[in-house]
Amino acid sequence: MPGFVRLQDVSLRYNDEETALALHRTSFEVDQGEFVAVVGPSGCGKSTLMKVVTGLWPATVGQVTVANKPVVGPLSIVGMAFQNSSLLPWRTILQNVMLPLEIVEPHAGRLRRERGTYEAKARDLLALVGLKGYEDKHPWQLSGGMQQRTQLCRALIHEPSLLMLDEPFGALDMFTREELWLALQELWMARRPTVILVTHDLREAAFLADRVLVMSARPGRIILDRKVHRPRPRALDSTYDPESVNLVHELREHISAARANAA
Amino acid sequence: MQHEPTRLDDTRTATTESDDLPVLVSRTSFFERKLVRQALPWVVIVGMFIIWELFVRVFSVPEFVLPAPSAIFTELWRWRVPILENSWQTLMTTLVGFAFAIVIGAIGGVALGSSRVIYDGFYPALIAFNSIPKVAVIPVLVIWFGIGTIPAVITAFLLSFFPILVNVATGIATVEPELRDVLRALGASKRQVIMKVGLPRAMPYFFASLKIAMTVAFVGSIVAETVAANAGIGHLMLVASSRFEVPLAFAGLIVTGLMGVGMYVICVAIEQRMTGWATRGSEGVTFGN
Repeated sequence: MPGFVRLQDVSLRYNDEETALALHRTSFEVDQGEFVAVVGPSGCGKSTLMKVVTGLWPATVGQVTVANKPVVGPLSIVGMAFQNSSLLPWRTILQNVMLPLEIVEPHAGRLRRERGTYEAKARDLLALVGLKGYEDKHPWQLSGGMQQRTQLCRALIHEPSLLMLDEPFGALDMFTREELWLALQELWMARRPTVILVTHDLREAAFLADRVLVMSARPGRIILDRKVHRPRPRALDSTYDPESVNLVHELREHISAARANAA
Repeated sequence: MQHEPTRLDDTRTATTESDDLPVLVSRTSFFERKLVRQALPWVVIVGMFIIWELFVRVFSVPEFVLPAPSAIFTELWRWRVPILENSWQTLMTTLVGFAFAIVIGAIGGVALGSSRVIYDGFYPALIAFNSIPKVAVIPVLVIWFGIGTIPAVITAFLLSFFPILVNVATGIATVEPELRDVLRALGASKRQVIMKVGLPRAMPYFFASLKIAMTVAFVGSIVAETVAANAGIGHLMLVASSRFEVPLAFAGLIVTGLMGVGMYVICVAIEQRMTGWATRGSEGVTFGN
């Protein structure tokens, strides 16, 4: 479905001050099943964009629609993962992954009767990202990379049609990060959700996305919309192919220009 | 001591020889050993009583000023039946007041912590109320309810509900926005956010406050008993001191201390069961200091 996520002239202002303008007349569309990465200089309103799309914050001006419905509040068809581990420390890994099932309908109503089925599903998902055997551990007993894997599972457990990832690998070292790129690519190819990934790692954007959007410095708007035509599954080595390297260079130049304009 | 277990020097450079292993073992100093650590509080208490006893005997302090521990324990044994009866009365009074404090403090804390409007509206009034010395309220309570158990229960409640309320409210109000967003992004209702994040998150705060509230609940009931009751440890101590039976009054103090410690230990035990995640299970890990 084209235009699964659609933003039209969206602006967002935190309060009445002029400097508090985080987004300025931003428009773009994301098709269903598409993997879009949003990159930009820091503080350009990438995270704000995520919150607007998921309905956590209302847009000040303009319209946001997801699946042809205007967004007026948080959407349950969305799965989210954040930069810092937002796992609940009092829950085990399995309980954390199953959290969305306790809230999102129709799962919440069925959970009590079909706990076994759902639990098996959660265990399968954890096994897929290599966390078999850690189900009964608490988040703080796991490494940062493992916590982010758990977050990915939690974002996917209720089979959302839209996956919003807010720098989910930002706090990880390079090797763990690359490992998780592969895990994410695998998950995405298996289920084909629509993905919007906010990141400041250009290699990450070039490796994972079908399309890369570059945002300007604050107030943010889209200054480049670049398609990435590369076959899947992509191998990690391909990030050093000339095509990929050129793309990263191109993105980098746009962001440098955006930063220079802001300064 | 042959192994010098208390020595702190670890400047010896490690070699590959296996006989260096005992050096590592002796790193846990004498005072860090489990048995010693468990015995330490008892050593301190017994030592205190011994010093006290010696002090009284050496300086021949009159009994009505400071009775010796031996005299106190003799009285404690002689009056064991009335002391037990009155302790039971005090314990029950305290527990009933404390129970009300838990229920109302927790409910009020949730309301205060989850709603900005309720917080802004009620907090100043609560602060004002908490600044009133509760002892000054007891005469009013006596006018309303007469002399007896009820003023003591209410005083115990009034003193102990505030710490619980404030702590629960703080725990809920300071939930990390990220955690709240996780739930809100899933379309969770406000109630669900409180049930799934707010309450579990407030649990460590709640239990921390129970430990404070427990001890001040005893203060409340005993103070009320000394002013307006005809039973309880407070009453017993008042009667004892008015008859110059100072060792008996001190016996009452010791019993009060024991009850306080007992309840505290129970609170801590429940806390460790319920909120082990908050201390990250660090118990038992004794590396470093």
